[in-house]
Amino acid sequence: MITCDEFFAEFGDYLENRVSPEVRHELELHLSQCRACYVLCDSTRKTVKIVTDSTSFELPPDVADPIVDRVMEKIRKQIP
Amino acid sequence: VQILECVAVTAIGIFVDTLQAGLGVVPDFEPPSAFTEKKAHLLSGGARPSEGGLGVPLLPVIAVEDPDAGLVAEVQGGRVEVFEELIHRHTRCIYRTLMAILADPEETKDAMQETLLSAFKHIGGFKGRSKFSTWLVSIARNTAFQRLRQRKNVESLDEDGSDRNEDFRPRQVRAWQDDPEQLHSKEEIRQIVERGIMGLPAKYRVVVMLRDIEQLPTDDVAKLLGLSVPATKTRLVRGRLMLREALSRHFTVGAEKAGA
Repeated sequence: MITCDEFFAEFGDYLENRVSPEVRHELELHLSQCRACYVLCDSTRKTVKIVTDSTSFELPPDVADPIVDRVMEKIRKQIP
Repeated sequence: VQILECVAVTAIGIFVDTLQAGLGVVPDFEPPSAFTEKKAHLLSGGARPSEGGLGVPLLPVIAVEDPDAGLVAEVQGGRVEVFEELIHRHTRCIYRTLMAILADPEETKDAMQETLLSAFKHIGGFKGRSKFSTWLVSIARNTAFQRLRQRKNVESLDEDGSDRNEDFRPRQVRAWQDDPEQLHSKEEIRQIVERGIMGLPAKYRVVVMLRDIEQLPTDDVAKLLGLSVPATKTRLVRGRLMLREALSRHFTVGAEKAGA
């Protein structure tokens, strides 16, 4: 079985589904037998999902609209 | 004979198109700021991006299908008012790109106005070789980087090997709840995530925001920031691990509800 360091080296690509089937098999074999790596992997996946679903850093319309209005006003002034 | 001629002409056309695509084409827009291809600085210490180098390459440079093409053509044809509809489609993406780099809501608003005005100024030179949205984001990036260079305390985004020294190794290894998002309201989660991301070192924050919030492909994030793909992937996984650490207390087994 691969070591935790070897698992960690492939971890980023594994999260992104960028590993070959052979490597995936090795990593998942490790996960099935290493509680620490399993928790790390599971919680990182959940982190990514929470962040992706969070609708963070949305631009509220009451912020966007005045900016666009100011931009259009300046543009109209530039047009002869 | 006519059929043969038609096939031959089509084949030559495809060959030429393929050749052009393979060679790449000149970007639509010469970014106003200058960065070396592999180095992009977020902030301070006196180490500044070198002047006079080539701009960070824009994303795709091959002709692409673009849902904005019609509106862009109208603006280029003199229908200035259409620009308003065009930019309304992309304000969120521009805002997130600017926030990812600047991490300052007020400065981001100013930079957004600057970005949109710059886009209007240069839209005549946009030839549709990249998507309009990609072109717009590259202007936002340049605007943000220019502003960062004017700040006094600047962190580096360079690929200088300093990643090795960052404290990204996991410390919190308690299991998370099966369905952690049920622990908090949507608004609480949004606040937890925003605080967590803003607490990351700049070089990780930018990559995590562009990949996981704006959901750009990793390769596009790399090009946008002028980083290599391996460096971008390294920063992404480390940024995610740091963020996991920051979020852990809200989502582990036994975490209290509404702990935001």
